[in-house]
Amino acid sequence: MEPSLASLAYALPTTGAALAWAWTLRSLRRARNELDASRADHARAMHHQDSHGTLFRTLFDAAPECIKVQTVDGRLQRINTAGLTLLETNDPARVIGQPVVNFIAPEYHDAYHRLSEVVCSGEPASMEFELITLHGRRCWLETHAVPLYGDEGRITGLLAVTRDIDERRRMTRELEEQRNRLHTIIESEPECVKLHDRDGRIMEMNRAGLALLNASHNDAVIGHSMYEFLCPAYQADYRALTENVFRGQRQCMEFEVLTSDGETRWLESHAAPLVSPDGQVTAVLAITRNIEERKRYEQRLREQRDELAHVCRVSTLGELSSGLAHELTQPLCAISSYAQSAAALLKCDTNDKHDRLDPMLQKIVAETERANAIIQRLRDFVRKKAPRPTSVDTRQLIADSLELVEAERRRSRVSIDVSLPHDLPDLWVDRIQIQQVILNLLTNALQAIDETPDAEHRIALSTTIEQDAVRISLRDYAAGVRDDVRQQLFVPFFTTKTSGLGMGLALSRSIAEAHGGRLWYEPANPGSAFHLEVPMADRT
Amino acid sequence: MTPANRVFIIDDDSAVRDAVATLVESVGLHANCFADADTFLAEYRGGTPGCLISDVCLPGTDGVQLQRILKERRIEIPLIVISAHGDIPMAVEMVRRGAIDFIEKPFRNHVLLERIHEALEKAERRHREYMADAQQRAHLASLTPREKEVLPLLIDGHANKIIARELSLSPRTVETHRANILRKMHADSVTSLARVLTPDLWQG
Repeated sequence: MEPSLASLAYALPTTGAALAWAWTLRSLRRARNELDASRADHARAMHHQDSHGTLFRTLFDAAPECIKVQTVDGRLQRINTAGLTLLETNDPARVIGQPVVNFIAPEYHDAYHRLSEVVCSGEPASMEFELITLHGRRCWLETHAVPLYGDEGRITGLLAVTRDIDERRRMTRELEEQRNRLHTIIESEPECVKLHDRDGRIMEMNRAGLALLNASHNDAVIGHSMYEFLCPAYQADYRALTENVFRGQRQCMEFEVLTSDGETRWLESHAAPLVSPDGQVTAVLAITRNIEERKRYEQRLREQRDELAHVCRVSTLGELSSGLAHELTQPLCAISSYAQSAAALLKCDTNDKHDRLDPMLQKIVAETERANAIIQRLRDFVRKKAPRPTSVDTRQLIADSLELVEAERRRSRVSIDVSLPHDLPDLWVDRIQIQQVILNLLTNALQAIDETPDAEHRIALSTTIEQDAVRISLRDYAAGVRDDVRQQLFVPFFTTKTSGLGMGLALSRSIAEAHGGRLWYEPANPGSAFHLEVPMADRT
Repeated sequence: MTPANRVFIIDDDSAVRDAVATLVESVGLHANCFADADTFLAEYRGGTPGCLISDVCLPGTDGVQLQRILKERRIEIPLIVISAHGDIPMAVEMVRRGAIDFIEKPFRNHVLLERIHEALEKAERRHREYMADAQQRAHLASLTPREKEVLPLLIDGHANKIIARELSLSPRTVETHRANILRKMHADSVTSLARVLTPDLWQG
């Protein structure tokens, strides 16, 4: 008796109606114990056997699962109420004595015969099959069968506990369908979908992902480390990203990879944590796309902006050209005159010729240097160079910009009050580009003053030191910007001037933003204030 | 009499100022330099014969305003305008208002020197005229009221008889007046007196 019940317990499914099973198991064990006891002292406790019989019957009928006993030759000997319900009858007479195989769908007959043989040889066995009820309906069942021993220790039949697994079968099927659907979606997804662990080991990757890495086969990627593909410059950032994702954050990053055939490629990844049911982050789920095209476009845009900046600088110089010509004329005029005076002196017949010639020649050299400095400043300003931020002396930058508008300023008779704090930090900017912005703001202010009758001929230039930026503010006392113009102030090709591209402020703002800074307008009473904020250089 | 040999230079560019001064001094003239018109106006003392070289575009009072102020103050100093390319319209305006010439920067020394000499000659002439006028004014001041009545009629070329009738005098008295006037005015004849006496002198 012992092995069979142990086998029954073993055969009990671990999932499903666990309570019912526990109940069944406990009941059966208790029943067996009772039976054991009664068998041990059969004669002495005849009346006990009677009560045991009643107990067993009660248990048998009250069990929520189908319990049935079949004879060794395969006929149904006993079945409980739950079993009758499964067969869709409440009349035991319609089923008792019938061959069990009659209730089993034909395709499972072989399996049933094999199970019967195993159990009859003394081993427990189980199978899943479809039952055919008395109404001819099919129903999925799972059965666990153990041999039933007679008093002499011979196997007298099979005891089977059977339950309805229709629900489970359906769920399994649905789960499988869902999995297939998901798999199809992921595989047909045009962007790379992958899972990798905390160390970057790739656990899963779809076909699009393989294509992104120019990998011909799964084996070239799955199980490999992310870092085999990631270009070294991005590895530290990617590790940080992974850590953040494992802290539960969503992250996004652009990086370059080296494909398996040695090509570099720009990618953008959106990474999210993959969370297990118990709330642990188990992997990074990353969706990655090819951004080569976008990067090329951005590059083109940057080049175009630089091109435009160049054009605007040239056009600004065009606007300033008469002033600059004036500026250059002064040293040239002095040089020419000194040289002629010197030449005339050479023809004279005086003793102090040398003493008088020397200072003239030295002045010629000094004025040549002055003219050269003006030209150098212009050349620097116009030269088309890829913008490169460096540490720039703020004071010098402002002084250079003021130099370039000096002629215009004089012509417009404007005084520029410059107030700079003593400990003005350096800027981290492209010197020429920021000079262009300041120059643009200065010429705008000068023009505004020219166009405003009775304007105070004054510009105030000041700086404010922010957290990690320097703000350069330019205030004029002219008419200010009209309300209807204000909205379009920074719109490209918008201009209120008869000449001019309308690019000055638009470009200036784009330059400021490309530096991680900003440029904005504030009305002042009277006049305008423009503020340019750009990053300061590291003070270390 | 002192020859006109002083050149006043106004230019806000120190190199240009110095170059012009060097040029001026190389031909033995005196140069006085100023960085702006206001300083010049504050320091200039009339009566020194000389000429003025000024840039058009100046901080504070510019060339055109300077010319107007000189006129208001009756400072008749010959003016040469030097200007850079951009200021030509203003320079032309200044010539229209009586400047001797404008010379574009960078200038040829000999051209500027020619203009300077021209200006200095003009200054000298003006100075001479001014001095002569001053002399005539002194002579005129010595005339008696009656002589001052006779003078315009004499200059108009009227005969003694006509003047006598006009002023109810005897022709003989008129003759005495005529002799006294010619003596006091240091003139040999009425004709030569008429030549040196500008109307604003004796009418004023």
